[in-house]
Amino acid sequence: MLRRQLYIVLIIASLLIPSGCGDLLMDINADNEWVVRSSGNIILHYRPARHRFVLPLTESAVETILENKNYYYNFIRDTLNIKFSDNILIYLYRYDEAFQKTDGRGRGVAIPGTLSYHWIYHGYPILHPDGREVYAGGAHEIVHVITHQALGGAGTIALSEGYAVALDGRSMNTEIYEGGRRYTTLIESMKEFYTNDSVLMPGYLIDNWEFTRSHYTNAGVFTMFLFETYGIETANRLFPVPRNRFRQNFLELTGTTFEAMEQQYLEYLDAVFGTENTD
Amino acid sequence: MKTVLSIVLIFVIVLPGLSDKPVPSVSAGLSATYNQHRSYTPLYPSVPLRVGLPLFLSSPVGFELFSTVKTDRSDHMFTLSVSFPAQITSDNGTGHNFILDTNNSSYWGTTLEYRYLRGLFDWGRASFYYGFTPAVLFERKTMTYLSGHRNRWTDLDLGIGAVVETRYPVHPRLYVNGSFAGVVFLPYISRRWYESVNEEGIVITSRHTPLVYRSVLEFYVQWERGYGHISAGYRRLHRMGVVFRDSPGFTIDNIIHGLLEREHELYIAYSIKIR
Repeated sequence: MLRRQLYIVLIIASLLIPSGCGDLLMDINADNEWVVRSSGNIILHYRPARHRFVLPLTESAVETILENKNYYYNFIRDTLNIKFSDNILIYLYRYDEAFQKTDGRGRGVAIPGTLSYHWIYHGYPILHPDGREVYAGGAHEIVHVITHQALGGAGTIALSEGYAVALDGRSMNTEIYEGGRRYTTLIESMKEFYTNDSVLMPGYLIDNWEFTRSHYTNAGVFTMFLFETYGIETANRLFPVPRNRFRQNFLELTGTTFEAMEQQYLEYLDAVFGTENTD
Repeated sequence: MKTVLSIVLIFVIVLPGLSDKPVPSVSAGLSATYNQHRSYTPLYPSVPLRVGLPLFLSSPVGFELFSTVKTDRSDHMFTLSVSFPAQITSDNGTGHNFILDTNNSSYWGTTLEYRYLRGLFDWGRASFYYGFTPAVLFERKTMTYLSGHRNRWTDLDLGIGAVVETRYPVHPRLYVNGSFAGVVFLPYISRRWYESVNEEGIVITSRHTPLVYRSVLEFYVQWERGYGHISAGYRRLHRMGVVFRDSPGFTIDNIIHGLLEREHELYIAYSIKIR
């Protein structure tokens, strides 16, 4: 009898051990302990008071988050001149919980196909260059959700991040000021790279992306250049073009060779950040 | 063309055991399936897949046609699984759908699978088998959002993997079986087509390349009755992987999406001996 039970245990173990391999690689957390608040097109999720990762959020902070996010939602849609009316789900995490879920990389992660983004709440508001006190970033992650959905999915990381940085108008850096902490502006950040002769050219950004402040900033300014030089409509049509067809499609859409555009871009940078515009 | 050739290669060239002679028994059958499909929200491959919400749910029913050829040395099992289109809904974590127009969101798929099994060893009354399993998976997922925006993914994945199986007779006519199969769907011969129709009605299409691992853990009981078998079982299917925007490659400048799905499936089957 004991021998038969041993057989059964061994048989089951022989199947369960290999089947568990997948679980070593993925750790799903789809728990249901959330407070859900909505306003306009924003559905905000944060942990309730009894949760071990509860956020120090006041009622007025929640109201501010909803108001700000709806403002950015409308601003992005209107600036890009596109139709978009779906809800966006925001999940706010305390730093220690977020570190487990996102490996601590970055402040937020957008997952456009699910109309959602996940954000690490830093515990205090930060002054955005547009004058708003933001608790969950500015427009950056909402730009990812809206653009990937409405424009057909990004073809290159350079334009995906470039759109987000350009429309948010801020750098990844924060600094202390007399009223607390503030984001530095995209222009301030780019001036630093321009002055240090660290400009990354568009072709380099498209083919050699890295998740550094330099890449984000340069991509943001390149996107601003595309908006101003070729118009929003043309930039929107370039957004889903993959990198292996980017140069050819750029020529077809604008009538300008990629190399000629890069020359124009250098002139644009000189005009915006050159010595005569250092103030 | 490459995909078609690959299907032919997998299902014709890699069936060495079919030449085994003699052929003592052939059976064929039909099963009815009920599936609970959960599609999670993963992150990029460079980040651990640790975010599950919102998740997408569907419960397709379907059927399977299968045939088993048993020779002295090996077993050959062919299975065609078809799931009928089922609605997809979303869950934000508290059971609410804030995203999808469920009436116009659907999932359906079909899988063609072959399993080649040989005896490994016997231990008491339990028999252990091992083998390999090529598979072709075709599926279509349509997600229509509340705004009317529609995303559609169509996958044709080809892969090959290993399988282990145990059979234990608890009664001369009643067997308890368990198996595990892990299949890797290969990027160079698998394809994903994406179509997006935004709120302005503009259609954007793109082609992608998946690299997906699929595991199937299965337990079932089988009762011999006259000329046939009646079976009832449970399968747990996991799929995880990445989908490359361009050609496959884990370069940091490539747009890469994660894929993470779990399914629980119940089925009942009836098969008859043909020979």
